[in-house]
Amino acid sequence: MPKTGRQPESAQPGELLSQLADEGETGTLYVDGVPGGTVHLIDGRVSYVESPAAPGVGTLFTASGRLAERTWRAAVEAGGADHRVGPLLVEQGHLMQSELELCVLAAIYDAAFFVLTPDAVPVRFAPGELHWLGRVVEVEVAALERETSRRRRVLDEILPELSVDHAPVTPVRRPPVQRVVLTAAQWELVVHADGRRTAADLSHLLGRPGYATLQELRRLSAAGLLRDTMEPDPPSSGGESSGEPSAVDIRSAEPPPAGGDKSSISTTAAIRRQGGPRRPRHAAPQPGSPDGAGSLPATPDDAFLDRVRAALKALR
Amino acid sequence: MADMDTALKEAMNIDGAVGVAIVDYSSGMALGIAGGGKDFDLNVAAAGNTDVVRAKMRTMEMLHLNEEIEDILITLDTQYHLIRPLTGRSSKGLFLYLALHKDRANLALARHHMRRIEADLEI
Repeated sequence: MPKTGRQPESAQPGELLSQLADEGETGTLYVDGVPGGTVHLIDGRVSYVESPAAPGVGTLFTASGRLAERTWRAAVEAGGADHRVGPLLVEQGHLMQSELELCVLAAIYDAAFFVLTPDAVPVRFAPGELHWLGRVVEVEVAALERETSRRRRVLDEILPELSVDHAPVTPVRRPPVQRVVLTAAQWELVVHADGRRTAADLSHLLGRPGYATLQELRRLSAAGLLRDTMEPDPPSSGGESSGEPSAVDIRSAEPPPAGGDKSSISTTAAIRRQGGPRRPRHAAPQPGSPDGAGSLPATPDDAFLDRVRAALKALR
Repeated sequence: MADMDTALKEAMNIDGAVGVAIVDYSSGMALGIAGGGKDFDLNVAAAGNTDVVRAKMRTMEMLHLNEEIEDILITLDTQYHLIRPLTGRSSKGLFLYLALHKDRANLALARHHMRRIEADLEI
């Protein structure tokens, strides 16, 4: 990555973005952290945003069947160097201007939700660096910020808990109710949640916006139908629960997010969870779950289990 | 080759149009708006009407009505509100929202226009 611009600094991405917008800058803002991403500015307005947690326009168009994979790749090859892939697709008659605009707008707001975290993270601005998509739409930074915080609020209204946002998810083995009604979108998520895929994996796989995926996962989690893979199924008869540490215990020991600034608390927690014990949690086996065992590595990580047990004992 | 603003402006030319929005109904966000004003916030209307569409879809599922919604009409004292889910491959999950003055609008014509605008938004 070129280091032409300002040195990396730690800042709230939204704040820095507002400054860059006020100065009418053109270039790319790199945002580190989890999931992180890039914000692309043209004359102080946002022309595109990318994040690993949100499928880009290419995925959205090809997954919906609107564009053939081949068509998309050819356009990226032909127009990428000149930063005009979007306009090229319209000129060649593959897309209408309006549908391109709609899709790019949706992708911008979707990725912005993940990139514009309320936390300070390492950021770097590369002036003059353009995105290959080119100029399709322009969004004001303030509008992006407003919408992002509105989305955070809506998400927390569904379920103010982020266990399914970043971790691999899995459907529960026994639904907590007699009768389950799912929408088509929820069904697809349940079918593809194999205990290894995270929300981001699922949205890329299904070509669904990342935010819409989070919403559905939180709804399913609120209904008790889906859970963070490493969180054991609630014991059906209270049988084996005695010595086994459970993710639920750990979480409920955390203070619940307080009314005012929910979003920032949730995000810090998310980053902590993602960055910290993620790998060992992947490797840890599911105690006593023959159904789930197939999708998990067979070798138990004893050292990690011991650590969790010790931590839980200390909590008591 | 209509861009989105043109399509929206065209919608505002419909007799009696007060405001129009293209709304993403998973997030409740208006991707584009035209018209509206101080006493009629289209962004708020967009978010709220998302719940209307979702409720109607859920009801149809419960009734086992295996049909698509062409449009939803809400009649107020002085206004009509028309909601039209878009069906194109890349615009699935979006709906058009149009508010009309009741005494100046021709409902049949407005519905006809909405259909044309949808065609303008996608091939």
